[in-house]
Amino acid sequence: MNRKFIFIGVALLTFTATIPLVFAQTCTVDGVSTSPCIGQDDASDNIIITGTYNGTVSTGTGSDTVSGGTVSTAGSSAIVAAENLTNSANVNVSTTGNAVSGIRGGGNVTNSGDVSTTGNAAVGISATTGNVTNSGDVSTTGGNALGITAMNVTNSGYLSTTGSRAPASLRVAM
Amino acid sequence: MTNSGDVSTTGSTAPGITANGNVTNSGNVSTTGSRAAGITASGNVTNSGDVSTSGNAAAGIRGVNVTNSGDVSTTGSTANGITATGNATNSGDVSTTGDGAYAIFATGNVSNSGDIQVSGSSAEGIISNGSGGNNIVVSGSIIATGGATTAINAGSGNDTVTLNSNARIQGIVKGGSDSDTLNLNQTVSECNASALNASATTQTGAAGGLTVNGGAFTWTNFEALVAAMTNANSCNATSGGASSGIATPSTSNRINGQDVAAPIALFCVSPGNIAAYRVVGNAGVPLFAYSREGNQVAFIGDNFGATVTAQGDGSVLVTMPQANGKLYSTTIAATMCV
Repeated sequence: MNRKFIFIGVALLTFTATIPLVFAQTCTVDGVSTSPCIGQDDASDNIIITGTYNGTVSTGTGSDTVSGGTVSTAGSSAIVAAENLTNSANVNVSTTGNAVSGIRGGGNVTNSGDVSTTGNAAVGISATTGNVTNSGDVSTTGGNALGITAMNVTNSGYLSTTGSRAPASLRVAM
Repeated sequence: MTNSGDVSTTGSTAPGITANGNVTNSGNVSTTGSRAAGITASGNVTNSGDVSTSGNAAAGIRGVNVTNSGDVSTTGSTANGITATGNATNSGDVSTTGDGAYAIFATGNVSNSGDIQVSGSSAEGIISNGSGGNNIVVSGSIIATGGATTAINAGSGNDTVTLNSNARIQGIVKGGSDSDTLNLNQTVSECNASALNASATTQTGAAGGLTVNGGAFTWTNFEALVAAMTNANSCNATSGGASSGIATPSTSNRINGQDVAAPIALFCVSPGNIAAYRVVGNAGVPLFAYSREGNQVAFIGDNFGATVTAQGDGSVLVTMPQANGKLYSTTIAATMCV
């Protein structure tokens, strides 16, 4: 009995010691922990965010997938995809300077995560050369902000903008 | 663009949906700022969602051809419910409360089967303002109240306004400039279509009015008026009133005795009641009973081509099938069988 008690105690100590590692911000690209969070210029990347990743996720070229926790940035875009992107991670963006995007896709964007931006001239989801299919909630707070802008948009999510001259909650690119 | 989600904006010049192309929307869209349209597109808009705006100059829907079946409401001044640079087809409810806010403003044709309400000063229910010859067809309701006095304005061009069945209009129907035609095509449940048509043709399109199905139509500035109202089927009902058998008449009470070859013999049978018999040889076969109270007609089986229509002056018109190469009809005066 004494030997079993000691064993359980050791196990608990080990578990406690690993807690900070589990909830730290991490980014894995195809299973490999990567910092900064940058994908490969190959056919596809599977990028998984654990916890809140503070910084820009750049997927590189190819049709890439981002999923997991939350991507949060201040002053820069949260997820930048060179080509097609499928995202289910939540995205928080606060702008401090030039206009930035929650998600900016170089091709088509399929999003099911929630996207919020705070700041002027921010864009929730941008795909100026592709299409956006969105089912997440997108909200912007700030003047001249856009919820979604793309060549074509299919949206089933909740969109809201708060701010003057926020050109649209939903806009097909001109 | 296809949207099924809910969209809201707070802020001036912040439209809910803006598209460089066509929009299909089934989500709810709301905006609160001035000049913040609900949906604005450079192409066509098909909307089945609810769209509301509360700012001045904030149109509900703006597009080329607009097809709407959703509820659209605006409260700001000059905030049109629907603005179409082409045609507008509406089957939803559209309301505006602001001054100068049209429920539907179109350059082309307008078809409305929905309910429209406007109440602001100088607001109008429907205006088709294109210079071409446009058609405005209404089978729904258009109610102009408060400061709004115009239900329909055909604008410039040689336009045609058609008020079909179920059209309910409160406010003036204006033909506008050029040469315009007003078609009155209602199905009349009051069974006095002939009288109404006659009354309409005695009036000019320049200014006139008529009460149909309890609702008043008032028009101005039409160069032509076409009255083609018809009675509802219920006016020639084969049910209602007596359901079987008819009273036995006295031959001395024959109404159409002067038409000895008429295929139907009509009789007064009691105050307010008329009996009809088909003439078969020297016998009469019960055909229908008619009661002036409620204009009830009860055919005993087949009507054999006969119709019974109450007229606006209280008379009753009975038309009969052809017999001996002739068509017979009898008008029973309002003073008979009473």
